[in-house]
Amino acid sequence: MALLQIAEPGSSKAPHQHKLAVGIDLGTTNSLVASVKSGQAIPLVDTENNYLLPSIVHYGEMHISTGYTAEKNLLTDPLNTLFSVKRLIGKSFAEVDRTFLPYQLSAHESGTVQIDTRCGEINAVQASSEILKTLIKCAKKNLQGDLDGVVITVPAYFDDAQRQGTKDAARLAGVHVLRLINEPTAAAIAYGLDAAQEGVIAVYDLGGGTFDISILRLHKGVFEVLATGGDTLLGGDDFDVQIAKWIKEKANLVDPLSPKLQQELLKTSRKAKQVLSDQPNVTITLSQDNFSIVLTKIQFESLIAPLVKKTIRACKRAMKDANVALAELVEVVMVGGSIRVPLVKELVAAYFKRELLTSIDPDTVVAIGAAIQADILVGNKPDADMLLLDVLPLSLGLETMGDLVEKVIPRNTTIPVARAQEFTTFKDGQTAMLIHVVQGERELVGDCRSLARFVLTGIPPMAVGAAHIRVTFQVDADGLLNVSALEKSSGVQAHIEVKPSYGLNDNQVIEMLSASHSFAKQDLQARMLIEQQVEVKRVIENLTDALQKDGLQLLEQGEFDAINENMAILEKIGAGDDKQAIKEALKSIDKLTSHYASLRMDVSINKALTGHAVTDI
Amino acid sequence: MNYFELFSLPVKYCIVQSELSATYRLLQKQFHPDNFVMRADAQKRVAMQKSTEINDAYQTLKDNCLRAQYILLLQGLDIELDRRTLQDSDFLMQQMRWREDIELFTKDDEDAIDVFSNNIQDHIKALENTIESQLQQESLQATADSIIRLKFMLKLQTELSLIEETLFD
Amino acid sequence: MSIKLTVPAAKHVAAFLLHRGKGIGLRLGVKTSGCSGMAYVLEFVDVLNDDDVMFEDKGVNVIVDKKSLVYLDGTELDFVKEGLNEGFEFNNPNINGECGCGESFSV
Repeated sequence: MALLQIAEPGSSKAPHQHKLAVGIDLGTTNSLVASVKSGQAIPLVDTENNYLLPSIVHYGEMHISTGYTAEKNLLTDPLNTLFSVKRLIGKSFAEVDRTFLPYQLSAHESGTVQIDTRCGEINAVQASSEILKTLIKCAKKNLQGDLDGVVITVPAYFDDAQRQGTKDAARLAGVHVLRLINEPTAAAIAYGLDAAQEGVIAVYDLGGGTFDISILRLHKGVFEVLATGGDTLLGGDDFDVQIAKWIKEKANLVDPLSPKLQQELLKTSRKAKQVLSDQPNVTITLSQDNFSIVLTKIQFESLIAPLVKKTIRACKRAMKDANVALAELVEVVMVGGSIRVPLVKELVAAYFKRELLTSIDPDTVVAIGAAIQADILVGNKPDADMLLLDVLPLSLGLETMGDLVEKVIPRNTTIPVARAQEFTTFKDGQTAMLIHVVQGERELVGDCRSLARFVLTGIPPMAVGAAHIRVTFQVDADGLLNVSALEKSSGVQAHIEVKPSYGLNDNQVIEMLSASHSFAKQDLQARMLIEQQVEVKRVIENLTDALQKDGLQLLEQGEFDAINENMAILEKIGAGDDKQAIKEALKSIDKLTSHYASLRMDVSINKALTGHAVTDI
Repeated sequence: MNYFELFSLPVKYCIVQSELSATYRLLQKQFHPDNFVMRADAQKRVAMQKSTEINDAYQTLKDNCLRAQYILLLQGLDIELDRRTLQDSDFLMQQMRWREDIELFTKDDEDAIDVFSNNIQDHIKALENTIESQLQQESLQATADSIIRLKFMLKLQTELSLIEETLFD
Repeated sequence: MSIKLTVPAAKHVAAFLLHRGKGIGLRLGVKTSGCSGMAYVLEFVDVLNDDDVMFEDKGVNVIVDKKSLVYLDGTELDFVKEGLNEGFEFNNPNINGECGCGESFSV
């Protein structure tokens, strides 16, 4: 029998209608899943009563394992036990720092980095999807049902390729992503709602592999990110590497180190770091040659000081971008496992000139915030008066003549955002054009991250300079970029072929989906059909409701009839199993009703603003 | 719907920032894509466009320079398209001198940089006041020239802060 | 007429109310729908309606509307753990059929 949870007043769902949604913190070192039960967000535990799942995947002889089970193989099977894969997501082979990475890396033909395991070449998206699958299984068991959607957190400073990679991993794991939200923003939700805080806060988030700083204004349920900064390759892992390098030097170990020794060095270093957070020194021993040495806290701090100082510089820049003075901050919230290192707390407190808030559980707060957001997005809390306004973390630009970058959307612009840029042809009769999109703050293309190369085709042949191609860059609420193009004088929609520089293209994802062990091809087909049918149902419900409310007020009789007619057709086609036909029908009704949808928006904007004295908002 | 209409405001340069942001939050609470996650794709798309437009309008209206430029645009004067050049050699010479000045700053010039920065800030304030009265008198061409001057000053301000960043971080 | 809470149920309701930061009690109710006719309602209460009846058991205010009361009289609300799952359960002497999942019932 299903057990009941307490709902908000008036929002009890009919049986089987309560939506199940969870928040997932997909971390470099640990991951976890949380959900709202009876109005309270809590981490969900597995059968062993653990809520933290080590982000480790073992590709074994017989099966794939994750978490603590996988961790047992770190030393015995280092080549097939993948850890910290989050650092590889959305990265090219050439970009990856291979110091102390015990496994074999190679490049996919697209340039994407992959790991050679006994199960073949595995990329970071696939490995991450294994972690997600475990968390989702745990959530389903806890909540006794299928999930309607998940919110996954990503470092605020993740670029487009890294975000897309995370979304692809969720797709592979077979879950519907409601939204990607930034880790510090999620922490701010959990903290802000709990403490009923108002004013400007800073969230300092130092995890296992990534660092974020976000400055937010909290005002009557609105969480407005003013600026964000960070480093996606800076975290507790790097502290471990610093210690490992030190031991390597002291023990006179020479390259190449065996994978097992590399793994042992890392493991020993991590332990040493943990001991040093409350002891003045630690004795480090290696199995090889009975090596033993003492590392003092002071030595450790001098090893990591440059890294911690780097985070302070990012804080300074974020404060400046936010245009906020130190005195304006009402709280500095510390999040992420690596804030346990005393030097971190010391330097951060010194910069912000205040006591830090370190009392919230740095391991769970991000997942809790994501769970709260998931519960709202899925519609379980209709009168929730909460709004997140997040920003684009890194500027988006285009390659121009001379390898220079022209900024199209500057960093810290509130999303969703769109900017259009006009291009013209430089040859008579030119019908195609190449556009290179980059992300980053530097002026030279080579110093920024290449996101994608777009080929515009289908430009009507004209004299040189006569074609005006308007390319629109749209960043959605997940922080993901979409590009569309239109030739202005002829109104021709130019076709865009996207070639992500390091991410996976659609075909690769579909290939991985069908190759994935958990879905036989038929399952996949069946799932796609079900997804389409859900969409058909959604469209019909939404439209019927809308037409009843204001269809005849806003539409001409002819338009009104046409929509009704098309809806009937869609309903009929939707009942069948012809995926292509359903897709076409959805597309045609989409086109037919988009004008109506815009009209409704405008009407509701007028409604929203009348009868409100702005001062009481 | 132009940006002023979207925010139910008269087309005027003078604006109360706190009211503007209150209206902004009210609009986004209703039209942000987060409210449409479980809806059909067409609605999701329209909501994203609307929310994008609200963001764009807010960015434009809250910024003095962009707002002035937008008012001119509504009157049919597009500064970007116009590609107008400033026929004020004194102003341009002054710009060049300032630019040379900031390039010579070193780590020891913290006080001098502060004085310089305040000076620029004063110039910006003065230009904004000029723009306000020019718009009231509906002298569009003169406003356009002032906006270009203001853009020069803002750019100088950005450059100065970049130099500060490299000197003191 | 009476509705009871078990000790674990009362403890959890009190904790959830405290965490929520507002609300005067817990609403138990039934509404029509579902595969076998009726479904339970379990909600926080911020304001009382005209036809509401309020009981108190183990320090928790239990609110039931008059229509629902007919179907719920004698019910005991329990809080149970089943494996990884935990939540509330209605032990209702009035019911004579439940759908497979227990989310709806008939009287």
